[in-house]
Amino acid sequence: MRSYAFRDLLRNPRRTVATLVGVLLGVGLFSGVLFFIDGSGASMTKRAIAPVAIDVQRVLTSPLGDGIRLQQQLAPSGELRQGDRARMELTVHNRSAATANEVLVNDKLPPELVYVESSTQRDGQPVEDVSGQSPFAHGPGLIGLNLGAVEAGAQVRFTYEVEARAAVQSVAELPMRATISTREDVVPKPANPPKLVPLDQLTDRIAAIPGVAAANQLAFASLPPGALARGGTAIDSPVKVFGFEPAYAEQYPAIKLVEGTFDPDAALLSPEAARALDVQIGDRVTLKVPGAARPARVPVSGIIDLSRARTLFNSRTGAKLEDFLYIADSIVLSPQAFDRIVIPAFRTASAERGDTLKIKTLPTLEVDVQMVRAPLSADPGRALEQTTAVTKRIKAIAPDQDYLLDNISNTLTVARADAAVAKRMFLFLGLPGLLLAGFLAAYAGTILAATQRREQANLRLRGASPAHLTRLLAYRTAALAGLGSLLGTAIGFASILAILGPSSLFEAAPGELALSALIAVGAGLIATGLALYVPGRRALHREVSGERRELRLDLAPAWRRRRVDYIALLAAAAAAVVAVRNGAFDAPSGAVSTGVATSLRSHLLMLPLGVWFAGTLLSVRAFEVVARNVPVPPPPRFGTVVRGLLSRTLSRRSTALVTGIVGVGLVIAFGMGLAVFAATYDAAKTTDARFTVGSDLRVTPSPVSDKPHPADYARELEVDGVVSATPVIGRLENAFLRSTFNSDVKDLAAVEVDGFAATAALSDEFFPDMTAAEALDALRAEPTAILLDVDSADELKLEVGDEAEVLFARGTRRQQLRTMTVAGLFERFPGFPESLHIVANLDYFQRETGIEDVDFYLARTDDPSAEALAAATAAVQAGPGASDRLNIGTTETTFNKDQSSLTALNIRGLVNLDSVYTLAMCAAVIAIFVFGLMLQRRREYVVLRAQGLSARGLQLLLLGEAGFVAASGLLAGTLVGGALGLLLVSILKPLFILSPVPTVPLTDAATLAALLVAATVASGVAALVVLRRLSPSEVLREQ
Amino acid sequence: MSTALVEVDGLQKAYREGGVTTPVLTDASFTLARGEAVSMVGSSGVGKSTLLSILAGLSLPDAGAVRFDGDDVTTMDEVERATLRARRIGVVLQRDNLIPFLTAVENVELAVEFAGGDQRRARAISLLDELGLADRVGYLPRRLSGGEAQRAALAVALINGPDLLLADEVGAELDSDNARRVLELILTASRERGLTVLLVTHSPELAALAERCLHVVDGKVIEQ
Amino acid sequence: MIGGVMNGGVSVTLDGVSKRFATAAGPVDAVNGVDLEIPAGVSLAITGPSGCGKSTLLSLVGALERPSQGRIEIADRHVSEMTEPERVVVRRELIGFVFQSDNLQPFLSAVENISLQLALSGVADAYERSLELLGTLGLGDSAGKFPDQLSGGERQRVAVARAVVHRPRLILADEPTGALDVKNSLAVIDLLRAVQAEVGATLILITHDEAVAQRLDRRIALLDGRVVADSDADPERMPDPTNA
Repeated sequence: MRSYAFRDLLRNPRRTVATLVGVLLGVGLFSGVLFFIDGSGASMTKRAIAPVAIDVQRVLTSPLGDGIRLQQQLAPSGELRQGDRARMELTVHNRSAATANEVLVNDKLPPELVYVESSTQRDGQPVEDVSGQSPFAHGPGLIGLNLGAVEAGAQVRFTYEVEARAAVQSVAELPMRATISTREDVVPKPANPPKLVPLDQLTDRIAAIPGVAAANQLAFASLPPGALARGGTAIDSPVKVFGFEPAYAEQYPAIKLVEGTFDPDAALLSPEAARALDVQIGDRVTLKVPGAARPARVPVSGIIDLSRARTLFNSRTGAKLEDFLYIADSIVLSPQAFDRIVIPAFRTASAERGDTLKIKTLPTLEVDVQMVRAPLSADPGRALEQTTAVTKRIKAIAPDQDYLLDNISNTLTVARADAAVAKRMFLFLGLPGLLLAGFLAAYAGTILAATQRREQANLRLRGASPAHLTRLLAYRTAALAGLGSLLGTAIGFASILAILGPSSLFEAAPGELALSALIAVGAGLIATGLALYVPGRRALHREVSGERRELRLDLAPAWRRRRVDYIALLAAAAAAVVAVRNGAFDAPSGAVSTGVATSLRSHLLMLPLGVWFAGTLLSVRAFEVVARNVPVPPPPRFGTVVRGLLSRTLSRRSTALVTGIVGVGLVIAFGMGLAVFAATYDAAKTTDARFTVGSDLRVTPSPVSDKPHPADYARELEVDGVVSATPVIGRLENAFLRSTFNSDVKDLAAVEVDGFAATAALSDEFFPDMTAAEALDALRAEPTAILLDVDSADELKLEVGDEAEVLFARGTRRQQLRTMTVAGLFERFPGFPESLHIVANLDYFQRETGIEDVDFYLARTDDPSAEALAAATAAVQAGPGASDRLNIGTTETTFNKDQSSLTALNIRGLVNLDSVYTLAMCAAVIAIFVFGLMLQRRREYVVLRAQGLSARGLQLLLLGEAGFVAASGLLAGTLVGGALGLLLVSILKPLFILSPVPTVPLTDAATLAALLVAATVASGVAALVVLRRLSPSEVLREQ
Repeated sequence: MSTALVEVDGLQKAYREGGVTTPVLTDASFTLARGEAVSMVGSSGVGKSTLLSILAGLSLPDAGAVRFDGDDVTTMDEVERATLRARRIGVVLQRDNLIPFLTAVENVELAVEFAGGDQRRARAISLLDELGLADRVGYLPRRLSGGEAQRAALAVALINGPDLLLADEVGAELDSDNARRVLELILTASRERGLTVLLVTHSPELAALAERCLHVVDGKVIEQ
Repeated sequence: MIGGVMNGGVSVTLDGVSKRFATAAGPVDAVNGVDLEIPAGVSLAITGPSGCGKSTLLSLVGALERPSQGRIEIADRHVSEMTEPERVVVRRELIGFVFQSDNLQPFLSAVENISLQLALSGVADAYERSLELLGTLGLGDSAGKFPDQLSGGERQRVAVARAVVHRPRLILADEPTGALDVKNSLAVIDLLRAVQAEVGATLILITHDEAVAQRLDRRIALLDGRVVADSDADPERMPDPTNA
């Protein structure tokens, strides 16, 4: 039977192809999606780690040097026999600059040793036992000895005797368990700590680890206002002092040496500081570090722009982790100068205050590590393994003296979770392909059933038993399903190669690709196999049991008779209700930076599948009703020939059309759904980007620029292509807010109301109780009005209408405290994706504080396309930027670390892939329908020709039925597809910051419709050509 | 009793169509002895094909029995009847006897496979040769002339050495010479192999070639 | 029964007509050099074994197919050289076909099947004429029934009605009684003859059946695509219509 089956497939190429074409397309689509997932991993890893400023940080826990240390030793070493004695020595050494208070030493002896009573001595003087036990471990809790205070630099030596309770092989191998703690450092530290590795040695050793691209030491400290001065002028604001080598600036190019050079004995100033002190290169500045006896005088060897250096200014502490807390006035020293000038001063200061905890911030000493990124796998999961391995090696060097921040691994962990979500999501976008493969195969199969029935009858005549026939069916099915799945997977691979390009695709591990191929082939085998085998088996059974009923397409398909469509829709509706009630659609947004992976409940993705399938089946019922009610010319009229025939065949043989309409409907619904989703997705991405930037362009004057940037500079930015520009004042922690209940440091933005309304990416959805226009009106109406973010309002118990005190320009000379009125609340504000708390009126701000310069400008272009943005950017650089230094960010160039890394995926590419296959399947399904119809009705058509129906009339008849199927399928598919698209959009909400707005893709929809029409007409014409070639007498003679 | 290979006893069969019941066979009874060649005539639509279908075990009568070598075919299950068709009954129809995508020899081999035989190729070629198709062995049916196709069909029917051959209007679509040739081959086979042959035809001339002639009239079988 | 004017039949002339089919086994001449002249109004039976070209010959006469060689004229019009649209008109206006299996349109009722033929010619009162015709054929009650609700004999009578309702001048019937029992066969033949007589049409009918053949005016026998006997030529020596 096997050779029969193969010969059947090989020698009947047209039959084989007709059955295969659906499988090829369906499996091609499904496998394409799988390969797409593999290949797209690349962008996810890159995107995820791109904003990571420092890959790994080792931050010293004791930047000011060793604190108090405990050394423990047992003499003599070697062997101890039972009863032998030895002497334990404990030395406390306070190596810090301050007195250590309430020093507690604890020593629990190992079981082999026992304390010899009254043997303890402190610096030669005896120390009393406590309750007959060792003073270092007495009482039920084995409490240690409190030495009280130990002065800076002081050393205390304790000794006591121990006796061996049992034989000890080697004293050296006994565990030393003494610990020491102080009031300042309550965590007990073990005795005999390893020597602290100095920072530069640590850095060198880390740099030598394979996988580490660079390790650089970094030191920094915050100094109070007035710390930096030249001559009689001092800077009134806080200052940051840094210590790093030129290599650090090379490693992190955001640090730009603008003028001059590095000099180990000199300092570099930020442009703001240089301007404030009116410093030239070669001048000297004074640096007053708290605790220093005298201010240090340092020559200035260069100007360095740190305004974008996230590595220097990103917060390292929990609440504001990775917030960019920029301090404009900064001075950079070499690490040696830092060590010489800053550290000792801090040590003194902390000693003076007697309590290191009281100093606001200690200096930070850390090693910043950059990993070699090139070999990192495209797949976040594997990249994570790689980075974790490197981090482990980094951690192994001199542990215990610092804490490790593994930013890159944390980021990849989130990205890995996101990648998994993406895979699941795309898988569901690909599953319909699989289902369509099965459907099309089964459909083609039923069309070809008639020919095969004749052959089967012949086989039965020859003596084929039911077992023979079943085996034949199995072989045929396996061959078709197998061949179709293999070829389909190959086609899918080729399509993704074309879409992503070989470089992207082969970044995925061969193992991954092989697995995807395996899954695609396997799933294709199952789906197609079932689709071909089950109906075949039933037909066989009918044949054998003597049911000679002609498999007329007039008979309603089994699924219809069993009401599968109603059941499926009920199930989908139930699932939807459950989902909504469980808030499934309100999943929180995920952001790599906050360490939260996007959570998409995957089982939710079953819902669109259900809607797609059930929705199409049900809407087809509607069209069947339409068909049945097509008006027939009433007796005694027949009507014109074509109209009379067409109206009667549609109304009386509507069930014959059902499967065709379902096929077209399913394909169109899938295509339309994807198109809606893609258009919405693109729009949402753009909206998110505009929200992040604030508008289309964000122009930030470089700190290097010495030109003034007042509010009306915005007008100069309205170059060609820019419709409007508006000034904005906004920095982190530039304000202070106080209510009767509470107060806190806040971020404030001041905007020019009209300009902002015209330029910024505002949306009513940002304001819970009012429209954006109303909010801005409130700002405009009352100069002392402010808008408050809902969290701050909550925190300070403020409501609309309440008054609060706002300190404008906090930390500057011009700071002003005013009483303001809360005029509105907002949840988020364009241009400030990370945080913003207060929005005030720019005019009022400038009037009250006298500050004329603004922080940045927003500009809107007339055309949101990438080309227009680039052109506008160039125009601004060429215009006002020619005589100034401007940093321009656009929606294309700025990405927001809060956006899910999923949005980096080339979803457009995937949807384009799906579209191509959808179009092809569309053409295939209508062609199968038309040819099937023609084959089934060929005798009718020949008789009509014999009766004198013209060729044109016959063509119109065939096209009429095909056209009805196409039109019904198109309408049904569009309706269901729209619903499908909307559903996909709501399920995928967590990908975005702002809620996506459903968008209708008119071009895509029109293309799909146009192609369907073209395919219908082409099939109709082709079918008739085939019909004409048949010999009428042959056709009529057939049974 | 043992000389009768086939005993048909009181067969009844009616077709239901559009609410109208048309009786085809009302009381068909006849016997076929081993090794004899019997012709069956009757006008179109009279039930000859129906009778053949029941004899071959492809359809079941409404009433009556068909005993093949003592066993009642009408009570056998499909597997038993299939085996019967494979090994003991050969059928040649007016047209479409061959699987269109298998060559002549492959068609014959297929028949052997269903009977569970071996040495398929050798036996197939040998028999085709006997029937004058030695150089048509590898041809697909559409490349065979009408006569060649019917001879190939005969090979398919005879390869497993059946006891009964049912031939339904085998020469109806052939020209006179070929039709005659095919029938002579059948009758030769009958004589040489002891094959029982039932020859359905509506040509009295061809019918006369057989030893005995049965007429199907009004749903009954009458001898003449 | 059909009523109306007697249109009279048409003459049919075949001159060296052949029809060659290309098959994988080589070209086959289904019709091989047939010369035939049939005067108007004559009823002709064509007999011969199956597969010897009778149906093909009828298709050719009925302008459904074109001959590979030779000429076919109907009423002195050169049908075989007409364009397809012209032949459509010929089929519609001049010819009525009856097939072996009724080949009624399954989705049209009996009366609709018949009216279709009239609608093709743009006749306005198609239904009335059809109903009348059905009535005269004793099928008045079955007018609204669909083919699967009628018996074989009834269906064939409807098919005959369909073939003659438009008063064709040439009736072509391909084994119209093939699927019927004896009783129904003769009824159908008599019907055809009656209709033919009423209209005066030319009738060409293929049959296997001796009894049927004998009822017609003239008989030719076809064998291997050739006319081997013609009752006009030699009325006595007519070979057996079912020729072996």
